[in-house]
Amino acid sequence: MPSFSGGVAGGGVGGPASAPPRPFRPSRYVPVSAATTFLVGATTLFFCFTCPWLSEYISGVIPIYIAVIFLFTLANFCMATFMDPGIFPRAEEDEDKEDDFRAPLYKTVEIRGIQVRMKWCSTCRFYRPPRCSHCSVCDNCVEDFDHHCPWVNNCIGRRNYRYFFLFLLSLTTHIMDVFGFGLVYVLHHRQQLDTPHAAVTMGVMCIAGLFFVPVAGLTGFHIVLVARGRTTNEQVTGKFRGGVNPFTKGCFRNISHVLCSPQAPRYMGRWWNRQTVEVQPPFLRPTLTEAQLEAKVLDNGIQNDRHSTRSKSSLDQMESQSADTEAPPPPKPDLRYAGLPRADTE
Amino acid sequence: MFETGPRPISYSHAHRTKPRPLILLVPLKRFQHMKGFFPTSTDGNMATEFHNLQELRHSASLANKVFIQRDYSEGTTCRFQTKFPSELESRIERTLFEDTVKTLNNFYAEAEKIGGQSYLEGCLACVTAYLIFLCLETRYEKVLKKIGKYIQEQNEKIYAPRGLLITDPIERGMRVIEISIYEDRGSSGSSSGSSSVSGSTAR
Repeated sequence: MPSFSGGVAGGGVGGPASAPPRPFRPSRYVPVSAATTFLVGATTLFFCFTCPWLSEYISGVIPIYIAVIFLFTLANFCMATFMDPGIFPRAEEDEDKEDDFRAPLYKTVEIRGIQVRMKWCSTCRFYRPPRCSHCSVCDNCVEDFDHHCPWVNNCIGRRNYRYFFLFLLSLTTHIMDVFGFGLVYVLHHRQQLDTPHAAVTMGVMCIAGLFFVPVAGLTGFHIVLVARGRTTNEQVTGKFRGGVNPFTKGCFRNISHVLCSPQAPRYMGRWWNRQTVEVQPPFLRPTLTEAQLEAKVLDNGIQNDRHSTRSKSSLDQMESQSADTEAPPPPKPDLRYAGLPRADTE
Repeated sequence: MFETGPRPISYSHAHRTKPRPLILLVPLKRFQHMKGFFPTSTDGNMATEFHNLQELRHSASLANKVFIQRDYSEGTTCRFQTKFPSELESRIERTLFEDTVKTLNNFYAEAEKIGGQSYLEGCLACVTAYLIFLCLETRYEKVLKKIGKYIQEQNEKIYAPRGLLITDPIERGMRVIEISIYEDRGSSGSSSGSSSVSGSTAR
């Protein structure tokens, strides 16, 4: 009895459709390298030049405290940088069958009584779930897309927003600590400001002071966003300006959603556990009710227009008969017609 | 014995990019008299594997796919619509389908619940500088494994006997539940071998 598991290539390894390899752009790595250099470099200098005096003359706890905050900052920085933000795999061709080139550009869903539009993504071939957006830098649709952060060279989305937020909080704290304790050192060494230790401390304070303003500003901005249950993308594009945000659950629940929700799974690069299930006729069929039988008879067997129930717009019905029996036309992204008037910018 | 009702529209096989369980037409001497039913061109490589036709089996081929969309009425928490698609009306009882989807929804709700356990997990992760993720499986992943087993069991017990297969939604980014509908090609010699398909596809 020949049987084989169709569609399995080799062992259990498989994965969803991924984006084609992109050209290597070294300029993308400049901000993240600079950020890493400043963070690690400045903190190392602080530990080497300022902390010995602090631990001796003020308290031994201070370097430990600063080390803990620094490690926390670094851990969140790494998570924000390297973690998959929640990239959606490309939809397979079969999913797109329902939507030929005449299908609408937007699909509307009602979320808690508010109409939300889902836009068709021509790259990823599906209607973007609510709060999902396509990042042009990464060329991926990201779930709960917040923004693309050049300082970590990664998108911030559902899976890593918490780490990004904690990174901002801890970095602000770290900058304040470094600046504060550096100031303590400088104030105690007013007469010896020409020593290398004092000079380095002042240099580190300058870096800290320089970065404090934008980082604290960004942190404050994100604190407000978290409290209001919005993403940067929604705030910046003005999606809920003058309207109601359907995704907010109240300040406390918004915060607990960001900080305490379970770690979301990644969709890309999963190991599929392929276990074959044989599909072997004869198939069981449900017993039809009388009404169904009657409908069948009256139908005269014309039930092949099923796709009309799946089509998203009435215009599809005219085309669907002939369109479905042949190959779908090559994707024509600009022919997606915006059936709905655009009331606000996307 | 088999229903020979009108078939749903079948898609052209030539446009699929994934490898599929193959239904092959192999000309054999003993069936020369049925020449008209067999096209003469075959896939030569595969033909050698499937020349044993003494069972002249019924086999299934993929006819259609139904996509159960997400239910966003309560926000972005993972829920799937329990609306019974019309394509499955003649294939499976409504209650069975709804039970499956409701159970899946419950699994996802359990996975995404914000409570004591998720809070503890977060705290533990913070304290260990997230190194704990290298050692322990997150709660969500544990539930996903349970879901995988459940879908496998449903496929084996309920869906495959009815010529249907459910694909785990995680493979589609949790956007849809894909249900593949298989058609019986019948015993008129249009196929050979059996098709056993995995519940999900590889790339």
